[in-house]
Amino acid sequence: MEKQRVLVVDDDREIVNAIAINLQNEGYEVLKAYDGLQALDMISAQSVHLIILDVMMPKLDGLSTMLKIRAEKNIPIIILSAKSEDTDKVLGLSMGADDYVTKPFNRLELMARVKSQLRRYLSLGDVNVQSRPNLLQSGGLCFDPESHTLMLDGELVKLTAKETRIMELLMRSPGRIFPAEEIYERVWGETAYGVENTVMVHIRRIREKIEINPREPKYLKVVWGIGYKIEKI
Amino acid sequence: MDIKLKKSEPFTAWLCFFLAASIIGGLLITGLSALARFDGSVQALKTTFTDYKRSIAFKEQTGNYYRELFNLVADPAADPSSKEWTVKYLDNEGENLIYYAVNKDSGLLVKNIEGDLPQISGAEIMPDLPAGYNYYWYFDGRKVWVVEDGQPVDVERLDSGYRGIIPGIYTDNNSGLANSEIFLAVKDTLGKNPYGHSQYYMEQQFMRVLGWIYIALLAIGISLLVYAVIRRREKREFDRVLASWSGKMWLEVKAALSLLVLSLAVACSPSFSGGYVFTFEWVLGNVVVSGFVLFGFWWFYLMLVDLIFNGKSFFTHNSINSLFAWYRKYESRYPWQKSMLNRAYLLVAAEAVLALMSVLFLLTGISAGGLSLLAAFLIAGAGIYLIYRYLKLYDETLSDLGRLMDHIKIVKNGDMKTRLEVPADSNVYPAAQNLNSIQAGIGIAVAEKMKSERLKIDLITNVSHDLKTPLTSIISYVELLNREEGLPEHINDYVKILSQKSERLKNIIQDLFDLSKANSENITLDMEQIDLARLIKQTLADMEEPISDSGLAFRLNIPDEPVYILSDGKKLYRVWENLITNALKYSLPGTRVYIDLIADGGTAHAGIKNTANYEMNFSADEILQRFVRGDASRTSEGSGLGLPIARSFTQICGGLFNVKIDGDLFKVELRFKQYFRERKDD
Repeated sequence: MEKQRVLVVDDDREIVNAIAINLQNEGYEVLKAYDGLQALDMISAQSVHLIILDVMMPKLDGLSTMLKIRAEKNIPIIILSAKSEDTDKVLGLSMGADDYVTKPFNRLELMARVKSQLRRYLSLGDVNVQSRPNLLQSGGLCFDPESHTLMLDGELVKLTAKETRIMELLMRSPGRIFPAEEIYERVWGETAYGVENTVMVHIRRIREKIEINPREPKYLKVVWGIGYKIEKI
Repeated sequence: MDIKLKKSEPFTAWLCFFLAASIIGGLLITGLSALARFDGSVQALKTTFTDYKRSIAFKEQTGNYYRELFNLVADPAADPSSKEWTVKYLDNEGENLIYYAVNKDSGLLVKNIEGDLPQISGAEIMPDLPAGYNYYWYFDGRKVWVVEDGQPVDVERLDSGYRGIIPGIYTDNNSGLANSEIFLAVKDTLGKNPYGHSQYYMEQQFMRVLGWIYIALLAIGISLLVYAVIRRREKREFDRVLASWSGKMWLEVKAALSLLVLSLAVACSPSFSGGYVFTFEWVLGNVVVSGFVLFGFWWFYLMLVDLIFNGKSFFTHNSINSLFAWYRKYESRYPWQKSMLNRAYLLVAAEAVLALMSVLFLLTGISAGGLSLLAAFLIAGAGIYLIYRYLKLYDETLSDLGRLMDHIKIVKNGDMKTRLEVPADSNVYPAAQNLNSIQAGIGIAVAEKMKSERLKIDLITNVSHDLKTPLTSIISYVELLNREEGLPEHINDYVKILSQKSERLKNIIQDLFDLSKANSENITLDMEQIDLARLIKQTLADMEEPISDSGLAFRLNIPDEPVYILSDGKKLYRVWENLITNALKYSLPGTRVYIDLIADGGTAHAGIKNTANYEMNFSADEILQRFVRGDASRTSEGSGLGLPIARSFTQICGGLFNVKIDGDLFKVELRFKQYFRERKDD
C-alpha cells in the first residue's frame, strides 16, 4: 500500500522537524513547508493526504492558506496554533479545519488526531452514511440504531449496554442539552434522585473511548450548570 | 491694478443699470406727462412728435395769440395801451402770422394785412389768402373755426389737440360779439423774424433739438441697460453691498423714510399735467418731477434689494430687537443667576411705568378723547407685548435648561457622540458649549482607554505566542529524548526533570494568559441561565477520581431544586475546579471539606471550607495576590494562580469572591444574584 503523505507547515523549523520525526516513527511520509506559499506549491505538485498547519506564519498565514486549499481540495487539515482561545478554535474550525490542536501539544494526542483524520479521509466512510439515511451521525461519530453500534472514524467502539443507550439518546438529538435527570430516567427507566454522579461516571467512560483528549472533548460535552450533549458537527 | 479693476466692476455694472433705468424712467415719465397733457390721447401725442405745426405747443401758442385778439374784441372799453401792446406782441411773429380782428359795434380794428380783408364765410369757403398761408382760425361772431390745409377741424374732438385751448368757442347773441370777426393765419414755412422774437420759430427749433436729445438719451439708456443685463452678476454683487448698507437701518427708519418719499412723489404728481408741452419750462418741470419720482423709485428699489438679500432680518432688525440685543449684551456682564433676576426686576419696573403712563393717558383721554385714548391703548399694548416677550424668553430658557439636563443624563449614560444643539442666543448656550466640550473630552479619554486595552490584549496574545513557540520545541524534543532507549540512568532522570518542568511551565503560561485576559476586561463571555447547584454537582462528579483518591470527606449542603444564575458555565466550572483542586491540595488529611449553597430568594451564596494542612501566616488579601502561594514555597506543581484566576473569573461572571481565614479554617465565599427568567417572561 502507498505510504500516507503528511504535509507539516510551520515557520519554526525545529517544531516541523520534531513533528516530522514523530510522524516518520509512525510510518508516514512527511513533507515540510515553512510558510503558506510553499505549502500551496507542494500541494499542487504532489498528492498529500493530510496537512498540519500553523496559523501565525510569514508571507501567507495559516487561515488564508487553508481558504486557498479548501477552494480546491478536501484534504483533512489539522490546525496547530499557539492561540488557545475558544474563539480562535471556533474560527479555525468554521473556516474549514477538521481539527484544532494548541501549542505546546502532546505528542501522543497529535499522533492520535492525525490517525483519526486519515482514517476518516481514506476509509471513505461517508459514502456509507449517505447510502443509509437512518444512521445517526456527527462528525466522525456514527450510530446505527438498527444494530445499536457506534462507529468512530469507521472503527467500531465497544460500549456497554447503558453506554450504548446513553449514546443513542444523545445522538438522536445532536446539539440538544440533556440534564442528568432526563438521561437517567430515559436510560435507567427509574425516577432520578441525586444522579449527577452516576451519569457523569458513564459520560466519562464513554469519553475515554471516543475522545482523543477526554479533558478537551470534541463530541461528548458537558454544558456546565445545564447538562450534557453531543456536539453537532 | 487688476484687483482694483475687479473690485470696481460691480459698481460699474450697477452704475450702468442705475443710469439706464434713470434715463429710461425719466423719458417714460416725460412721455407720460406729455400724454397726460393730451388727456391720454396717443394720436395727439404722435402728431406732436412728428410735426411742430401739428403739435400742441403750436396750437397753444396760436391760442395765446387768439386770446389776445379776443380780449381786445370782447372788451371795447379797454385801455388803448393794451391794444398797442397786443399788436406789438403779435407783430413779433412778423410774416409768420397774419391776423385781423374787427368789432363793428365798437369800431375796433387791428390787422397786419395790407389792403382789403379776406372775405370769409364760415369754414366752407377758402378765403383768398396770400400764398404760403394754409392754416387759419376764424371767429365769425358766434363760433370759432379752425382750418388745417383747407380742411376744417372738429375742435371738440379729444385727439384734435384743441380742447381747452380756444377761449370762447361759442358765444351767444347778447355777448356783444355778434358783429365781430377774428382771423388768424400762420405761414406754412416758419421763418426767422429779424424784427422780433418769433415764438413759433423758436419753439420749432427747440422741439427739433429736443427730439434729437430724446432719441440720443433713449439710445444711451438702452445700451446702458443692455450692458447692465450682460453684467447682471456683478450688478447683483453691488446690490448685495447696497443691501448690507441699508440692512443696518432699523425697520422703523425705513418705514418713515418710505412714507416721506411716497408723499413727496404724490405731492409732485399733479404737476405732470401742468405747463406747456415741449417748452423749456415744461422740460425743466419734468426733470424736477422725474427727479422726485425717480428718487422714490430708487428708494423702493433699495428696499426691495434689502428685502431680497436680508430676508427675515429686514423685519427683525428693528429698534425693539436692537434694544433687546443691547440689553442682552449688558446682561452678559453679570453672572447668570444675577442677570436672570435683573431681567425680572426690569420687567416689573417697566410694566409699572407703562401701566402708570397708560392710566394717565386714559384719564386725560376720557376728558380730551381722541389721541390720548389711542396713546393709552398703544402703551397698554406695548406692556402686554413686553410681558409676552418675557414669557416667551422664559419658556425658551426653561426648555433649553431641560434639554441641558437631559443631555447631562445622556452623557452620564455613556453617549459621547450626540451633541447638544442650543441656539446661540439661548441663555444656557455657554453651559451647553461647556457640556459639549466636557463630553468630547471624555469621549477622547474613553477612546484612548479602549485603544490601550486593545494594545494590552495584543501584547498578552503576542507574549503568550512568543513563549509558547519555543516551549513547543522544548516539550517536543524532551518527548523525543524520552523515547530514546539505551540512555544512561542519570540522563533519564535529567530528561524526566526536564519533562516535568516544561509541563509546569506550560501550565503557568496558560494560567498567566487566562488571568491577564480576564483582568483586561476584554474577554468574550457566553452568559446564559445556568443552575449553580447542578454546576457544582457536575464539577464534583467530574473530579470524582482525585476526590476519592485524596481520602478527604466532602460534606455537601446543596439544594435539590435548581438555583438559577446568569453566568458563563465554562468559566464558572473553571472557578469550582480551581477551588476544589485547592482544597484537595492544601487540606489536612482525614478532615472534611464543606461545600454549601444557599439561595435566599435574591442572592445565591456558595462557599467551600477546608482545614489547612499548614499554618496560614498570611492574610486573605495576600493569598489573592498573584504568585503568592499558600505554603510560601514554590516547589510543588501548579502555577500559584488558581485562586486569582477563580476570583477574576467569578468577577467577570458577575459574582463576588471573598476569602476568609480563621485559624486553620480556609473559607471561600461566592455570591451571585439569582436569575429568574420566569419572572422576566411574565
